[in-house]
Amino acid sequence: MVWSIARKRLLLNLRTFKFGALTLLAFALLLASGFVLTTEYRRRTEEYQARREAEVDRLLYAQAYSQTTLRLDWPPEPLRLLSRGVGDRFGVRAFLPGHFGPMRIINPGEGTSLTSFLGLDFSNVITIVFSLLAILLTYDVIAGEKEKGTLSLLLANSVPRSRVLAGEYLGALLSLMLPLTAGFLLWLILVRADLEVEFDSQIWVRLGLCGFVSLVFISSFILLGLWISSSVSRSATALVLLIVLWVMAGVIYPNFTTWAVTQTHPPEPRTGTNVAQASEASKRGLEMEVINRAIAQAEAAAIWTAVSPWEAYRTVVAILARTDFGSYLRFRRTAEQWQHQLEAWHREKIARYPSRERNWSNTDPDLDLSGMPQAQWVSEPLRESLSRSLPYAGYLLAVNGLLFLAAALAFARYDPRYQL
Amino acid sequence: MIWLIAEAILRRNFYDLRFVFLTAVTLLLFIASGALFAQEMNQRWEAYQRQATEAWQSRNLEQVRIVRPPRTLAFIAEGGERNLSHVFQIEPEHSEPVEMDKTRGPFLELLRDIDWVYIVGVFLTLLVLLFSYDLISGQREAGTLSLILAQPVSRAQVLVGTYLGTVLSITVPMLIGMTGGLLLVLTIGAAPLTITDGFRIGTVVMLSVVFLSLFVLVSLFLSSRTAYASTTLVSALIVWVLFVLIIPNCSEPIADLLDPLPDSAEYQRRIRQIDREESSKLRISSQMLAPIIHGPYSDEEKRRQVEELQRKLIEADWAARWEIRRMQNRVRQERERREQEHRQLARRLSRLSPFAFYQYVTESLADTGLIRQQRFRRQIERNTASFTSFTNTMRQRYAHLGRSSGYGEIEDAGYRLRVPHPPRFEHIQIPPQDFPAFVDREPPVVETISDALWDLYALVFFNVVLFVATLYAFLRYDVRPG
Repeated sequence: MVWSIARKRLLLNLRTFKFGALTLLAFALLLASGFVLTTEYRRRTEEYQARREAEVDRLLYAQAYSQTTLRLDWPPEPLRLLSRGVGDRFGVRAFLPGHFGPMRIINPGEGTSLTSFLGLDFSNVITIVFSLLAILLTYDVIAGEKEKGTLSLLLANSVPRSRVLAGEYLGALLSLMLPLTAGFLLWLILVRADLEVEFDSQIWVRLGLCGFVSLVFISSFILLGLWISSSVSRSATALVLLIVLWVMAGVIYPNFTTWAVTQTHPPEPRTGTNVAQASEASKRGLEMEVINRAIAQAEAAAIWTAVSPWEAYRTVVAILARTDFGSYLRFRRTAEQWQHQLEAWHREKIARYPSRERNWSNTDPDLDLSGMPQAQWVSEPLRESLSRSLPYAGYLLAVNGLLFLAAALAFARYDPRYQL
Repeated sequence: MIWLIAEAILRRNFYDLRFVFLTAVTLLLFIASGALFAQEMNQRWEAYQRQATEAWQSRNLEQVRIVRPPRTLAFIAEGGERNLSHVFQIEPEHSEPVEMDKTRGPFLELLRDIDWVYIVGVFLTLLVLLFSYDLISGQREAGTLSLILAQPVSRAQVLVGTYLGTVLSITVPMLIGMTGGLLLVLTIGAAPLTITDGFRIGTVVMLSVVFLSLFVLVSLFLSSRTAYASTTLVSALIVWVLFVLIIPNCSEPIADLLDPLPDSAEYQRRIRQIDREESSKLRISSQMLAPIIHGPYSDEEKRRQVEELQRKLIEADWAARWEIRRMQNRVRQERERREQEHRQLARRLSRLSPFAFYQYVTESLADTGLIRQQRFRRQIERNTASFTSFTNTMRQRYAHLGRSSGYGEIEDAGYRLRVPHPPRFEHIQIPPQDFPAFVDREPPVVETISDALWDLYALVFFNVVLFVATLYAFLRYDVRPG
């Protein structure tokens, strides 16, 4: 019985105008985003390679230890196509002067973005279009059948309410899985055809997980739709409520929380100390404090915004794509480690050849570069990404479970009789 | 009769619990926005005053810093002020101001500021759709539309009445919310609002009504093109998602694709290369001295020739430095121009959505964002000339006090040739008030409106076109229920 209800819902959905229109919109956006982001990826890769090539023989001409500085570059992530993330906005190149100054991270190819608040990428198309589609397909599932009078007919058969709900849920899920799978495959074909990069098994696993999480995310909106639909008696009321919730959860709540966090975690030390006027020694400490505060601020914002399933989903995808803020922190930490190693190495060499710290003359022998650390970037392994994304993915699953319970409870108590 | 229908719509909405609830939500949004903005503006003013004092005290003959004051009306349209630089440096050799604090900033990328533009553009537009989607098709379904049209009233009157009623009923929550937010900004915020600001706010309120009326018309148009209210709502939502979420966000990536900006590292490389190439021509060597020293001259003549050579070298050095500055400025200007073109393209693309028109008009009215940044830059550029002439006069007066910015010389057989370095004048104490004053002229409201006139015109034009289209669709509408 569950299956026949699911089948009925699936067939009903496939024939509607909203389904066709939104599916087409989603496909168009997915293809556009794939095209835009592969172009961007290719440009970034070229820039990265140009930067690396410029690095190759820089150390060959070093004459004093002050010239033996290192640079760590964060290569463009191929899965940035899934989620642009925020990680690389804060810099993809670290200057490591070792003993000769503090580390600096810059963004060589930075653009000034002023108007857009959601970049166009895979995760955003899913969050905007598919969640809307989920709501539009489910708002009238219970309340609408009641209005038409078919709900009491359905319940007059020997089928328990839980099965009706499960069938409706499965039907909606199946009807959304179709465009999701098709869109994902289409997007993948475009990306693979357009991109020369080899996808290794790890990337395929990440892509698969991303598809699964997208399904979990969409399912949470289906369940929300079912819950609201079985809590009100008119489908129009359900729709208005759902749309308001959708805008609140997706657009307004994350913005407000981020903003509130900038107020609760101000980026500058409260004491009114002025970084520009502080002494050199305390300047380093103050700068560190400013950075630490900024990191604390960003982390607080990441946690608070993830209360909205939209943001939780985006975070999971960004972690899987290695473009989230945590990935930037990982880059920063790696750069710091190399900076410390280089500093130790500089100290050791300067102790041995004090005259070569900053100066040299034509008669000096070649600089002793033995044992010099080579800053290298190792991408985050899958296991680490998984453990970082687990809390958010778990939260999404828990939201699903809670919404299912709420929907089951509401539907069990639902009055199916139709009154004008 | 028009008023009767409008009144009926107003009543219907005001007695609706959903309407009351959503009005409360609107008020809450405006109040929260007002509170957060007032707090943030206070912080910005504090930072401005600190930076301005520092800049004032550190004025010298090599550079002057100018700090851009924050705009009080940022709560209406923030326009990305946060990400624009606030400190500009003028150097006499540069024709353009240098933006000082471009790469600063915390790690938190704000998704979007919750200013009035945002609340009206995202939340109130949705509210409009939710309360007007069923005005035609819903009444047809309920069977009341044919009853109304059985009265001696023309369809145009029905449409105008419905339109007016909806616009009026959406104006109410908007006005309540804006008043609440404004009161909060006035009480918590430290920066006072002037009469002109009041006028600007009034214009923004009227503009918001015009913008929202556009969405009322979209909704009425769709409602009179579809037979069922639910179809109307779905198509209205798709239009909303396109106009409010997708087009404004896609304009920038698509502009990137159509017109990719060269890497900023590339420009820096070109600037460095100019420096390297030009300065390599300036190297001095003992070979320059050799023909004089070994030439058949008397000691007196040799000394005179070396002095002559030294003078020529200094002149050549000056000329070369000017040339370097000029060429580097050209690269910078090119970059600036390319970025500007890119932004213009992104803006043009975003104008596929009326939200963009509304946003840009409001930004020019509130005088915030990119438009203000450009205007401020132009003002600085105008002021640069007076600063340059002032420093040149002062430098001539204190020429004997200038400190050489570098040392180095070549010696051969007792004859010395100094490496030319231009003198620096930072250390000379000049009272800050002696510098030419920087005049930050706030543009008159009329000027800001004329800036935004095309966008404003487009908004009104869309309204008219949509109204005609809706009227046409409604005249042909089949009103029979069932």
